[in-house]
Parts: sequence; structure tokens; C-alpha cells
Amino acid sequence: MTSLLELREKLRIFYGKYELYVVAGTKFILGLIVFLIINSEIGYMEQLNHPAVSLLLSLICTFLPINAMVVLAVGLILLHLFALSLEACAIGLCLFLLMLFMYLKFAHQNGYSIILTPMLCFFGIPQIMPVAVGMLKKPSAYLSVLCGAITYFYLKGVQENIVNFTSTEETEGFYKFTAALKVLTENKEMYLVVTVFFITSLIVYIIRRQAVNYAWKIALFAGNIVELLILLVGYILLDMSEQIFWVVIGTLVSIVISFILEFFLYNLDYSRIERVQFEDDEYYYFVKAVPKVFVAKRDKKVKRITPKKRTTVNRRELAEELDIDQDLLE
Amino acid sequence: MLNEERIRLMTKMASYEEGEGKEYIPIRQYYQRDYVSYEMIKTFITSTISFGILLLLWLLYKMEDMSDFFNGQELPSLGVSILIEYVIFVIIYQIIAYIVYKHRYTKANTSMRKYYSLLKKVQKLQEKEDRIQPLEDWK
Repeated sequence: MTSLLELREKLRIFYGKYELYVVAGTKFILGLIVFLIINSEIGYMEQLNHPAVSLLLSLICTFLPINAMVVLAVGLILLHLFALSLEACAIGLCLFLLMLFMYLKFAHQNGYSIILTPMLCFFGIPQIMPVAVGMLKKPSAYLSVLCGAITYFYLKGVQENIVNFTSTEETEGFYKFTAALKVLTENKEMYLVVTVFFITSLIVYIIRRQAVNYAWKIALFAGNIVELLILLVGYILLDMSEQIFWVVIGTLVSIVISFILEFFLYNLDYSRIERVQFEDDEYYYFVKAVPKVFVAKRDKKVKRITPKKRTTVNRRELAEELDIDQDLLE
Repeated sequence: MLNEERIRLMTKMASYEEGEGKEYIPIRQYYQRDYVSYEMIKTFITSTISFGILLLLWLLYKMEDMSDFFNGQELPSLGVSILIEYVIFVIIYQIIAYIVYKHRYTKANTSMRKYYSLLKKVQKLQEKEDRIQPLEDWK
């Protein structure tokens, strides 16, 4: 445990020292993954479906705030959808505008959760997002996870119903619009996931704010379990049993990551709780102060203890030094 | 001559301006009432656009079943219900905007207090330096 705490301190110091490079590197890698996923999954516009484009976009994102990555990703998605069908692009644009005007206008500091949620959905392990957001942010940020999830399900739905958008047959004027809207309105899996994410975040938030010992650990555990149970029941009811494997894997990953986060951000020593009481004119205060676990970085100093050099002088040298005959030193 | 104390304070201020202050300094240029009303007007426009988009999407979705409405028989009642929904939608968003931006202004206010105290200290040091400077010129 002590070595882990030392590692945490070392990482903290490292981050403090090289914050600029760490943040830029993280943004670059995140951007590269996001743009590569977008191009590989919905790369309908051939001109943009090239690794160099992803690389260039992620390089741009390295030097800009995280919201720039959101804007660029949205732009890339819309261009690809436009190449597929104008209707899918128009509905996508409406969706993003609604997200912007109805939610992101009020909570613009949630770029990371908006980017990370669809990315983790793609890898099949999005369960960590609502738990992490519940741990680290206020309830106003929870809708950002939902925005990310809705985006993912829209793109997945368009891909699964691609025939509706690519058919060149003469169809009724608004057929493709209706098809694009049905991707959202008739996607029961999306409703399930979005509801579960919101409930999970709220549970984690409510429990972690309680003044009980190990509140964060209980919150993480409860959040993950509730999420797992509702998703399992939901997928069974929706007759999508093939998803159960991924739900279990996602929850296990979520538990591991959430405990790592808790270790790094909220490691308290409940064995040294202090309780104090005091009063002022208006209130009586019962304060419970829990100290943080802190281990000072071990300052290793290697002290070499070597025996003094024995200054052995032989008889001849001593005689020479004293300028006398050797025989006198018998 | 360099005044180390003043440089230290100014570094602190610059770091605030680059970090937290980037969001809060523009807010504090307004009075609270002006800031909140300005943001509420912006929210009114965005909520109107949002409602327009939602209405458009709903019309597109229901296009097949809407032929009866467009015959003109139920059009007035539909119009009235849409208008009522629009008013409710806008009112809800105005309330949200009021709460969010009032809270943001209060937060900016609290955060900027430290900045202003630093600013005052720097000003005092500057004045002190200015007073000393002429005396040194005489030497």
C-alpha cells in the first residue's frame, strides 16, 4: 500500500512538473483515437477517410481546448453523413444543435465526457462514464454523458439501417427523414442505456455526499451494481441477450477504473477521524474531519560508509621522507 | 529597480487571468442584472430555435399521419396547442437561464474578490515606487 501511495505522489509530482506536455499528449492521443474511430465506422466521405486527416485533426486539437475537439468531431461526423445522405446529415445537425442550445450552452465545461462516452460505447465499455462523472462532477454535468450516448446510438442506428439511406429508388419525399428520425425514436436500447446512465450518476452522487465512512467506496460499488443489474434486466427484456457479456465486462472494467480514480482523487484515512464541536451566535457545529492519506516522497540518500584508507608506509619510504638511513628504523 | 514583491503579485494575477479568470473577468464587466438579462435574452433566442427544430422534427416524423390536419379542420386547435407548448418551453428555459447565470455571477464575484485584493496591493506598491522615484532622481 505504501508503495502505491508513493507511486501516487510521484505521479502527482510528475503531472505538476510536466502538466503542459501531459495534457497536450492526452489530447493528441484522445483526438487520434476519436477521429480514427469516426473514419473507420462512418467514413462515407472518401476524401476525409484517410489516416492523415485524423492525424492532422488530432494535431490541431492538441493545442486547442477540449471543446474544439468536440466541434471538429461533430463537423467530421456531419460531413461523412452528408456523403451518405442529406437527410441523415440534416437530422444529425438538428440533433447536435438541440444538444448545443438545450444543454451545452449552460454547461460548456464537459468536453471530455462528451468525447469519451461515445468512444467507450464503441469499445463496449461505457459503464465507467456515469460512475466517473457521478464521482467527479455535479449533477449539471450528467447530461453530457447522455449527449455522448445519444450521438453514439444515432450513428450506430444510421449504420445498421444504411439501406434506408443509400437506396436510389424513388421513395416518398420524406421517407429518408422519417427513417433517420426512427433511428432515434424507436431505439429502445438507447432509452435503456441513457436512463441507466442518468440513474447511476445520481446514485453515485447522492451516496458519495453522505457523511458516512467510506462513502466514495460505497457509492462506486452501489453505482456499478445498480448499473449492472438494470442493464442486465433491460437487455433481457429487450431480448438482446448477446449484449450481456459486454455489460459484465464493461462493469468489471468500470469497477477497476473507478477504484483507481478513487485511490488517486479521494484517498482518506478513516482511522484518524477527528470530531470537533463548536458554536457561534447562530449555529452549533458538529464537524467530522477525515485526514487524507499522505505519504511523503521517500527521499533516498545513499550514504557510503567506507573505511578510511590505511596509510601504510613502508620502512624505505619513511626513511626517505625522514632523510635517514633505513637501518635506524629497526 | 525590480520590485520582487510586485512581480510576485503580478505573476499571481497573470496566472489567475489565464486560468479561472478567463471565464470570470468578462462576467464581472457587467452588473448582475445586466448580465443575467443579457444571457436570458440569448437563451430566449436559442430556446426559440430549439423549439423550432423540435417542431420541425415532429412534423417530419408525423408527416404521414398529418394529412387530416392539413385539410384545415383541426389546424386552429393544433396551432393553439403548439403555441401553448412553445410558451411553456420558453418559460422553463428562462427559469433555467436565470438560475444558472445568477449562480455563475455570484461565483464570479466570489472568485474575483481575491483578484481585486491583489490588484489593490499592486497599485499601492506602484504608488509607493512612484513616490520614491523622484527622490532618487535628485541624488
